[in-house]
Amino acid sequence: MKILIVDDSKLSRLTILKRIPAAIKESAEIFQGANGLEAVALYKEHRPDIVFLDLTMPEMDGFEALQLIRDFDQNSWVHIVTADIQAKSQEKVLGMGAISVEAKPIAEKRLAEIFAALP
Amino acid sequence: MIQEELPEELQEVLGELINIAFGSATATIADLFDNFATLHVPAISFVALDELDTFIFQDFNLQDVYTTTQQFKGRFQGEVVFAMDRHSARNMQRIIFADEGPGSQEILDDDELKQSILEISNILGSSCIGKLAELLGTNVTFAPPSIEFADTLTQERRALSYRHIIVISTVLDFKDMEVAGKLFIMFTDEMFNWLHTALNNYLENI
Amino acid sequence: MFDEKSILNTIENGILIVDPDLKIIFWNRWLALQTGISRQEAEGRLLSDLFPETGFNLLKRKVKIALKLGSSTFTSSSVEKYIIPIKLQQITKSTFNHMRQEVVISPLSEERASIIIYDNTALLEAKAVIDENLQIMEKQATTDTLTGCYNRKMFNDLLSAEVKKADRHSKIFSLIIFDIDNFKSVNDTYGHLAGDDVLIEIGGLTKAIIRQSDYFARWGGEEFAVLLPETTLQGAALLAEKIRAGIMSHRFAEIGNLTCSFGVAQFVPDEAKDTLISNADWALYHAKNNGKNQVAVFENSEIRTWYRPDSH
Repeated sequence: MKILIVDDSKLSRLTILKRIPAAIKESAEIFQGANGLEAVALYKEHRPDIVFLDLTMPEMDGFEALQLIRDFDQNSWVHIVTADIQAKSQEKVLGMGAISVEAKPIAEKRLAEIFAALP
Repeated sequence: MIQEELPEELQEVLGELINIAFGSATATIADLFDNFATLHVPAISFVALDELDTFIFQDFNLQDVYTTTQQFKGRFQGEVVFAMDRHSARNMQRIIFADEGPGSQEILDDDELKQSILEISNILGSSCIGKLAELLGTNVTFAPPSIEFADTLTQERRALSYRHIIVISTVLDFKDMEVAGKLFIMFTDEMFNWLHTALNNYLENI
Repeated sequence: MFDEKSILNTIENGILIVDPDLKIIFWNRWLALQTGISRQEAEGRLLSDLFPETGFNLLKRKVKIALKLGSSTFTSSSVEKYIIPIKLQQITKSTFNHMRQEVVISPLSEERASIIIYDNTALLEAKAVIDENLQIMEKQATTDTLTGCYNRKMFNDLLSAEVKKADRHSKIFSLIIFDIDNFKSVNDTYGHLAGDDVLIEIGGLTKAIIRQSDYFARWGGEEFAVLLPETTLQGAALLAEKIRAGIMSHRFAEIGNLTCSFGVAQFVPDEAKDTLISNADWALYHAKNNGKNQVAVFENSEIRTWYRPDSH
């Protein structure tokens, strides 16, 4: 399985990384990016099965990156992990095709559910 | 001062937690007033009490700045001071009173302005500090906020033994207007030690 | 055992529980006593029905915020005055018509908030008295009680502020010091009360001549000083001459005519405040020694007579 984690905060990426179920982590290939531009480039290069994407980032934010990833691949599987928990932000990204919006910091239990729900 | 005493990795943890807390505060405000704000990562700095004045006034005009203060109590305790200028206060007032029917926006009286400032500082303070405390595994209660004049602020704080101040530059970037302010979290040596331990625990248990 | 809710009725604060529309779920005894609306009448009704004259937008918003925030919101009696209108009884002789209230709104559940009302009237009344006294004291600390113009201490502060301003923004300003000629003989001949009247009259005359932007103080016994922001030596000397002429042509009751002598100096950048004072003082000394009833100026380290009535 290929996993892409994109967040400008190293600590945020580490939080997700550490909380991914061990069984999955063992056999997964994990890629990390620090902004929207990297997210899009890494997505195109590796075609990950699942993406964890932050919204508030420099260079290119998560909204724009999500749009570009969706344009590139209608079947992309993107979870937004963000501190931006405004109702209108959630509506917006869900409307754009994100699978779910998760408030930071994401819980271990929630990550397990997310991986269990992968098609 | 914190910058010297808090290891870089813990400063990073604090930064991330404040980012989350501020996101939660922004969401509370935006959702409450049926608005939307583009979220920015808040800039965080550390200052000593002596530098507080300079810090407040480098961005604000003395005649124009409003400050409010609110104490929080619990295992994590201290005081949170919020400073904003008249322009931002006016913008906040427009957002708060936007849903109170036509005409209400025209009444820009001073009491309403003060109300708006108290309102925003209470929401920002409570949700920022409340969320931060929650992330650190504890909770806090708040005393009522009050408006103070900026020039007496530092003077009175000197009597208290606040040695550590975290400054969060907050920007609520609403569609066509900006509400900018600075949130100062002040606490004592004892609380600094508590924070140090709590941040360490957080990092170890990620 | 006792009913915990009954405690709410023994407390000397207003306590009510409302839903987001401000429908009253609970109304304690204190509120019933203060408003004259009984618990039975209040519960189940909207606050706005009980007090149709009062706007409740603010309270509604605070309740909404408290519920959303999950922590308390507040209103302050110094800003909002009151939340629930409670007329104060005449016998309390309050300066306020309504009870001033400090209010804490706390979430109880998703749809319920408690509102606790503290009576802050006495505190704010005391504060009003203190504020008033502070104002009086502040005035007393800065003015000369006899003439009503600034006292020496205040004048010194103003002078220091002006020096700072001049140094920082390269502004100019000037100083006049003047003194009543032969004042001792006025006191000796007509008594101290007459002397006091002269001081008061000269104060009044001077105030009428100087400009709004000038500061005027009693400097000492029979000495006065005028601080003239953004005024050159020339301008200050002209004004001094105006005051001199005004006093000379005035008839003081009982005493008749009196004259004054004037010393004028302009602030020189970077010099000390005291240097300016001694320069003006030196000019005044010169005017006195040169026959009184005249204006002398200090310019480029020299004293010269600016105006003497008999020299024309």
